[in-house]
Amino acid sequence: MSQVKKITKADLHSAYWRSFFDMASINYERFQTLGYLFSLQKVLKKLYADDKEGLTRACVRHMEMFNTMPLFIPSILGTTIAIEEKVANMEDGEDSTELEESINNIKIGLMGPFAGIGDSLGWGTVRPVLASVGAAMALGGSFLGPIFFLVMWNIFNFSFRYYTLMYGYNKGTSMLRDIKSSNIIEKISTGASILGLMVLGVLVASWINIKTVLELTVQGPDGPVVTNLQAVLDGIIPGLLGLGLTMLLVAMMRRKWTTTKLIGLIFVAAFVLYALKIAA
Amino acid sequence: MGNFGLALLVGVVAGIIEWDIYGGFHTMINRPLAAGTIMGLVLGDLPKGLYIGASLEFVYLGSISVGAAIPPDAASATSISTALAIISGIDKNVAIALAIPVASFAQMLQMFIWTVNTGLMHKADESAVVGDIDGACKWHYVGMLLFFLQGFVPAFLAVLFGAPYVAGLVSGMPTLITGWLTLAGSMLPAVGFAMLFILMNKPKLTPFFIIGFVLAASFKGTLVSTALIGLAAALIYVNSMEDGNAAKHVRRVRE
Repeated sequence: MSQVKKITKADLHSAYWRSFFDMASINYERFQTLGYLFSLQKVLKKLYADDKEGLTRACVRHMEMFNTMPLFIPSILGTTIAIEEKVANMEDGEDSTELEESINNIKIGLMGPFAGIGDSLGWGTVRPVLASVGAAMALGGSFLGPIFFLVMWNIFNFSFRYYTLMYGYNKGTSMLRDIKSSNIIEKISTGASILGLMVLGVLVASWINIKTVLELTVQGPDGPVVTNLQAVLDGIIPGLLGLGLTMLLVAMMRRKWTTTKLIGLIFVAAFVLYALKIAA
Repeated sequence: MGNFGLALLVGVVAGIIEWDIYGGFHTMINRPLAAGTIMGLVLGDLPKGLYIGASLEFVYLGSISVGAAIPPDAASATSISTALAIISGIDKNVAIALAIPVASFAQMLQMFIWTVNTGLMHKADESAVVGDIDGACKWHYVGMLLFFLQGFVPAFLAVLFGAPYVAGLVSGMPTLITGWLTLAGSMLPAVGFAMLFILMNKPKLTPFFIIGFVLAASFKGTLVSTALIGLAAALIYVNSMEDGNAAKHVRRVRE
């Protein structure tokens, strides 16, 4: 066979930097597919430099539908590169069909679980937690709020992608098997959900600023007694109206109300509540 | 700076902010908290940008893209409403309400680009089947440009044509309108919170939401202190989970 084609650190770095642009050609038919091929562009050109047929097969297989949570693309890229490296280094006449098919099987096998865990870890926990701490600082008047958010997120963003790509490359084919045989996915998504839900409880209690201005007047023995309804509600537990509103919205979303409709409904409800002097 | 120059400046900044979502890097300058602050800095009113951005951050906290669903475009909405609020002197609470329809409009533009990009795929296919990887990948750059334009064009037009008009519109706004929009703005975060709740809650995990709520409502627990308790609770819970049994979960995640 010809000389050994070795993936270097520089090749992995090219896939790493390119992975940040994976979403640029996102579309309804095949989602991040072309972005995935774009991330592999340098690597594939190197591996199949003198094998036009091999490069064509690689291009065609990576044009199959691919979509997952963007933060988890690098880890899948890592395993793909490891297997592509093996395919490119096969002896002439050796049958690479099985190995080549395994590339897409592993991509498909990982993209589903990673999309689920990625949504609850990245979009459901890490980002909202950092963003709500930052936004709370900002509403307190501190410009450090957005800086805190951007610095913390990007430490996570840049390092998580880097280490998972290296991990995926070093693990190669065994990554899918390791993940399926342990319940690491379930552990991470459960842990993330617990932290996320706890913070969500704080947000519901603190950041839905709706108060009723209704007052009940009752004739007592010494003249009329005025009771402020909000004070009564706060006596039960502060933040009760915000909690009620959130749970009402949850119930309506489960009955297939779209967010657009719900936002419209809130504008209507706010107008009625304000005009009738029920809330302010 | 003339109105054209101002519109160009706002457009370019809005384009870069928008580009961060799909175009590249995901640094989260596209989130309202950062986008409002950046627009405030550029236009010379940091406190207003900070306030609008942080308020909209709470409104769109739960607005996330799951699978093929495109959420309302909070980035474009924050850029445009912050810019108009500073240039035309709109009340900051009215600006927050103004952002809502803008976000839905910009969301439709994103859907349009997702559709146009399908055409890029077919162009790339033609090169891929003959092994021309460079030819296939060059179509990827077109998508990058489209997402910059998706931020640039509406912001540019809004400032160029909208700013003088909006200024006249809001100058004599009655308190019924401003009070109504302020109230609506303070109720809107509940929509994002509800979405986050649906994303993360399973019946078994609801107690953690209740604990978080009570810690904040009754015991004045701050966000960071409660998050640390949440982290501890997560570690205790996860450590007590048994290993294995993953296949069952993979199926559940996919559903």
